[in-house]
Amino acid sequence: MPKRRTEENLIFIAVAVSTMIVVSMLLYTSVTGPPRESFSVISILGPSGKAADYPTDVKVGETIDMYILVENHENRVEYYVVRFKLGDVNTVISDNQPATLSTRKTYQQILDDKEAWQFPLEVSINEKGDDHRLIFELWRYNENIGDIEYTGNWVQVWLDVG
Amino acid sequence: MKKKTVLFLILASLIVLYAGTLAYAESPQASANRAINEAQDSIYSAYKSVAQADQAGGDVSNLVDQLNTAISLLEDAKDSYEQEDYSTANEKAVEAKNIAVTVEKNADDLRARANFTRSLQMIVIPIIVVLAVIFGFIFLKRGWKWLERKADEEFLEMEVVVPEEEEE
Repeated sequence: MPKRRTEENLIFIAVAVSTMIVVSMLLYTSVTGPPRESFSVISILGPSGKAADYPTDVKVGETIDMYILVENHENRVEYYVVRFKLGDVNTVISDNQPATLSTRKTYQQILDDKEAWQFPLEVSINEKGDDHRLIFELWRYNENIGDIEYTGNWVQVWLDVG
Repeated sequence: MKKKTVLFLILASLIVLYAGTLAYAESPQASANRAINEAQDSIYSAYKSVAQADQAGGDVSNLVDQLNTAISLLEDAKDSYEQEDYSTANEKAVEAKNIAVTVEKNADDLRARANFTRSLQMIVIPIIVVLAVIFGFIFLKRGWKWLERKADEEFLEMEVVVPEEEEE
């Protein structure tokens, strides 16, 4: 009989410990949630607000009818700055290096996590020519360095200006 | 002769004073430029506080809206500056700065409150968990004993049944 009791006590302790481990894991998961990927998005939308029907030809001085969409998925509030630059076929830009051109126009907005910001371009080009490259770089304010930094996200549209 | 010298000295002093005032007085353009830079710095500083409040777990959506209003005013100020309307540029930049300063103060308060709530949670949650574990353990132990007793009772209530032999 005492041997049976010891065996039963051991089983009880094993069951109790297992139950507590499972409950703790469930609690931890419900409190912290699964790890989420963090990223920012910039995209160009056509005149209808959709990713279609982009203009390819505009007249000198004509206001370009397009929209820029910025989305925050960084799991925190972000201060975004969109820089508009006008380049051509020779302009060099990458995910690590922004284009070494002067900024024609700057747009800025603070976005909460999972918030999106869509705004009209309201830009025009006064230089005639083919293969104009409208470049939009996404920057963000880094409070640790006290300045804005390039996120590596950029979009472009090729335009002929007649 | 003496009178003339005194008059000359007074006049010269006035001219020097006027020239000095002109030299130190800010032009409307410089004033607007300074106001725009100050507004931008205040917005950056306010954002820093908002980001900290956000990381502390505070609800910053209202502060973000206010700060975006300040950004919008700053953009208007820059547009006015480009159109050489320095008076409007100065006015809008000062307004943007005032909003940013208020947002920064509110964000700091929110961060302090969020940190306090978080600290409280850090104390209360472990206490609740420990109590839950103790009560859970007691509950399981009692349940286990009840099952054991039930099994023993069932064992003791068992009867030996001997099948009757068929008469030949």
